[in-house]
Amino acid sequence: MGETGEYTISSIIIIVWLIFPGVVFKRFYYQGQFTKQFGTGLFADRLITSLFWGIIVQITTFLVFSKVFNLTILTIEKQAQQLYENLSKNQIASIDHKTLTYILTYLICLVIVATMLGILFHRIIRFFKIDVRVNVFRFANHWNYYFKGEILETEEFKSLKTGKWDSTLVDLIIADGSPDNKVVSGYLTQYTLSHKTGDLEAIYLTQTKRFSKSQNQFVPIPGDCFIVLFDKVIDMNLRYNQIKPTVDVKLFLRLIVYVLGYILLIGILVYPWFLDLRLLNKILGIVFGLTAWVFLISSAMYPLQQTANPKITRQAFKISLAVAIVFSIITLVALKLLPYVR
Amino acid sequence: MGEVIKIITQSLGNVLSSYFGSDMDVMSENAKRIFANKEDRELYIKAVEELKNNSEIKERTITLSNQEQITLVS
Repeated sequence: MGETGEYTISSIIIIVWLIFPGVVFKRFYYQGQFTKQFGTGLFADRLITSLFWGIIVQITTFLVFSKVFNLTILTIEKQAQQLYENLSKNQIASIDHKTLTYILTYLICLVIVATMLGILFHRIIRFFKIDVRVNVFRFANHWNYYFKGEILETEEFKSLKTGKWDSTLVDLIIADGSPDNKVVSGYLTQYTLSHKTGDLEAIYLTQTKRFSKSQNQFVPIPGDCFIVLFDKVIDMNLRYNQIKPTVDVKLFLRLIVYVLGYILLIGILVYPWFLDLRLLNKILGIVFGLTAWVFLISSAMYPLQQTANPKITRQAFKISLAVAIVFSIITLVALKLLPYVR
Repeated sequence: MGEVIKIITQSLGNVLSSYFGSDMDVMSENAKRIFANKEDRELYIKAVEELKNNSEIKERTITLSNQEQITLVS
């Protein structure tokens, strides 16, 4: 196989091992209202960023994988070299069953790490509002910042902030073909973006009113949801309904539970890999641990939320807590962390 | 028992969506809760209208059906 063949092999290796994890990372980084950004932009730009994030994911995965399976670059160097040489010479690579299992496990691990990192980066950027404050991190969907009142956090709009954003009232002038355009006003509940361009496509209003010239006032439009195609909109006026922030102890406690939940979640996912156990025990420990985690967080949230029926909620709390305790014990047994069950 | 299981599954769903779901809302949790109740919704809309149409009014406090008080500010 000549130089062309080697280039082909190198291209495949780069695509599979570096670009693909980067693409998975970006798929989960651009989530929610920012998901359309995943497929837009210059091809070269997307390729370079995928490559960059792919390298980060690859290094992280290798560090995790080498820790779990006690591998180093030196131990796999010979096999990797042999595999590459065979492929370059157009020969079938001799891979034993054990190596094939390692490769498959590594690929699964690669996708999981890329997914987790994508979600984690997105959450950090959004939670600390880094994208609102620092332009470099801002997502392409600028409508989200305007519709959610997040723009009030920026220097330019700070003077308009009088409280905590609660909802957005939208006034629209719509071109309906008649000489007098239609004026409607309603509370924003949803919006959609174009799949191809990422531009605003439609907005969804509730409690909508239209301006009646004959009555010289806004009159309610019967119906639950008023959908406006944005290409018919001439002007749009946003009014942010803000509420006075109150010292809400329950809200503060919910935030603490939420953060502690995150720390616990990372612990459940990471700690088993540092234990000297069989792979099955580690996986079972994680699965049971996650079950215990979701019931534990759920039971911690019951006393911190408003409820219509306190008696039923109390019963739900007791059951959830009991399930959380049972699964916690099973997790400790699976991970052999209970002193008398080893 | 059916009601208890419904609350448990709802709560589990809330936990999972708060940790793994993506934020798609353009209305706060508080506003969604108010809009779900007809009486509270009417009070809220009336207060917003008052603030919108009269620039001299700087705040309006409403008492929701669960006796919770909310102050809208302009």
